[in-house]
Amino acid sequence: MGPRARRRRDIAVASLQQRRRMDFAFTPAEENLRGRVRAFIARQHANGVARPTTARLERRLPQDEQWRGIAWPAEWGGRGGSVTDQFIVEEEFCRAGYRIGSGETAAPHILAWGTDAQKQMFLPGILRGELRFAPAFTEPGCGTDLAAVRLTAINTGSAYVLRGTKLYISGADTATHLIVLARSDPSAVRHRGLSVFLVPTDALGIRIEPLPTVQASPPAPSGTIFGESVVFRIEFENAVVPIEARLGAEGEGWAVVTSNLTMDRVSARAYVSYVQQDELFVDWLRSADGARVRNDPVARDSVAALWIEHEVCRLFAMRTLSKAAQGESIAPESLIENAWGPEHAIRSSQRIGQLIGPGAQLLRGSERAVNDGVFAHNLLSAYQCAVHHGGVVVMRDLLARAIGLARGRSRRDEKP
Amino acid sequence: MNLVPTAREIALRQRARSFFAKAGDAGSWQAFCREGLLDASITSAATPPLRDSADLAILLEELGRSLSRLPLASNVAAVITLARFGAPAASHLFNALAGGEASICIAVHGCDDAWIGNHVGLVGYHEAGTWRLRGDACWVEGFESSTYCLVAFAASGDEAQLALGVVRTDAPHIRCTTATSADGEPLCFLEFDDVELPDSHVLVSGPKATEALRHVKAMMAACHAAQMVGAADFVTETALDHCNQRQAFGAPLAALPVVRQQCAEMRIAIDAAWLLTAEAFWRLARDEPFAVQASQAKAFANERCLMVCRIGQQLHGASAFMQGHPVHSRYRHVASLSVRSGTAAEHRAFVASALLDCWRMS
Repeated sequence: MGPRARRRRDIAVASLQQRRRMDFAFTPAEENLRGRVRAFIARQHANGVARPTTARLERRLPQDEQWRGIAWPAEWGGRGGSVTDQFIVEEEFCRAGYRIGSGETAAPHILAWGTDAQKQMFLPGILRGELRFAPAFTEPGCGTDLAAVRLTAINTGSAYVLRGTKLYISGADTATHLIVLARSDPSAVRHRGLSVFLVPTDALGIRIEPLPTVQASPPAPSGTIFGESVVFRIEFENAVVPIEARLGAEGEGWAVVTSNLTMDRVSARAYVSYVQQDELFVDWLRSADGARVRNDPVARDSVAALWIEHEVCRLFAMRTLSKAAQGESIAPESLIENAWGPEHAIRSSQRIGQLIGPGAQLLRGSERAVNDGVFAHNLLSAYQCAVHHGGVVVMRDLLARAIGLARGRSRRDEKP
Repeated sequence: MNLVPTAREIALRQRARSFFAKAGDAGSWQAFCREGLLDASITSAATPPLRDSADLAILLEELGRSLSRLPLASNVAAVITLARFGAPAASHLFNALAGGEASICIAVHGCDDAWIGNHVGLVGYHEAGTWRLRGDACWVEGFESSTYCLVAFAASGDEAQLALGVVRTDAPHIRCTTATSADGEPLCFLEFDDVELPDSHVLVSGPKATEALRHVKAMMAACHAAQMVGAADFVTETALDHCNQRQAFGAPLAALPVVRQQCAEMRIAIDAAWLLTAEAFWRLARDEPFAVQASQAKAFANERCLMVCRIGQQLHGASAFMQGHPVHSRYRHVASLSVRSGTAAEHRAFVASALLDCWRMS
């Protein structure tokens, strides 16, 4: 048993000993942490930091270093917190419109798969907020099915040469590095022969082109689900990266990238994106502007249905977090969460639009736009919801497998 | 926070499943209590009477799965309401119920069919040192097999002056008309014609009675939600087995993408309904307000558990429509439970009220 497996086992044993019953409440210490994060954000605003007005992803709050690396190992600058603590911090930053540690997406798998040299190279910079990573997985011919990656990484003995295209990459303009999934053995198929690389965005041979999204004009207001106004196409034209840029062993990319996806899915960011519009809508309903809808019996039925689904999102997220905090595998719980959440967000955006009426179509900046147009922008976001964290249809198929349905594909497709 | 069942809770589920499998339809309340299955949940007549856990939800889920007619829902709803609101004199009843020596049915549903709210069909008049009950109580489960009946009545005809009491089911002047529900369970419509209720059998009156009535109704809703989850969970497991084994178009049914999507949808719905229900019971056990959570669970389970059973039937094909097929039996059970103790629309109206009208108080 390796050190990682031993650590997971120890966490699982300790948590089994502690757990005597299901418990739906955060501990007082966790609630206290939430309060401190909120107070920090409020203090920053009181000190003159402008509140976010657009849904830009890579926005940072000044002096947020203390909230980074909460659950990292102490030897790499971690602050001794739990996975739950990290979730709470991230949730509060997301709700306020900020990202905490945009390098977080890379840090979990650098911690899990990186060499000591890679950890020393990247982790301090991520903690300081100087290094930001953008996952570069999707390609023109492959989205949720990452095993179909075609971008090649040819090992020349002293370096890798990357050739191919990545598509729909978020945050590539502000990222310092890309996490690239590439086929290092072009003769291998599917999950075999893949490797992961940490590639500087300014490396020679890399060309980054913006692609405007449905949120491009006008830019979406803060609180919009997937409100990015631009994503990127990245061309790798014989980009040369050193051998040391490879994360994990050659050919081990599938394990590296799927562990990253798993960690990403415990993140609060996805959860907040599923529920925030419900909360904004309820706030609006409680205001004077919402009186007409609030007092309509048919609308109230619809609002309650929406809210119950919102509660399901919360409970699914809490359950996934519970399992992660106990060091257990989060499948199928994360699949359930990420199949339900996006579809709820779609239903919710449509329902909210129908309840508000004509005002719900007005985008940010329009006169009479409701809540600065956030609900109109969410109607546009509904396009993206079901594909952003992996296609929902594929999630359900993976879930079917996880709950014991026999696979229906050919033997060639079997995962190694 | 921990939303994952623990080893102890998994063991409790296994014990309950074994009990219901052995006992079948005839499983008695006394045997259930003797088995010690309630011990993990209910403490004593002291407040709060539930241990800090969602154990009761697990027991009720297993009840729903098994289709047993054990009066677990009505007994625990009465026991916990008694312990929380009942006068000290009610402790003997608590002990009789929790000890398995007696069982009780709940007759708080008026014949106007509305579940949410304080309307009751019985009126009580105080005459010569005793209460006399007149009127109707509808949709009563398990009346004929129970020792007692928990009733709610408007004292002196004033609905603002509610009271809860307990009458024996064999008391004179109660006329019971039995109807058969979709799941075959006999439901009783009771007519009370000057039924005597001694003062000592009035468990709670005054302002607390309204709260107690809401409490017992919320408990019944949560109990039925848990039972629906159990029945629908059984359907899901059965459907998964069937899809893995049944060959169609040269491959297992499970290989068809649309079947895989449907099975995943079933699992998602069950897990959602289960978590909503478990949270309601968890709050109840901590003596925290739980009526909103109970309504959320019931509204969701009413629709989604029925959907799960419908998908299960479809995946099984015509066989599941045959009398006595385990999937069809669960479908009928869920269909019945889904319209008892409040419809989805009623519960959503309550949730909306909490969300949009009462939020300043919370």
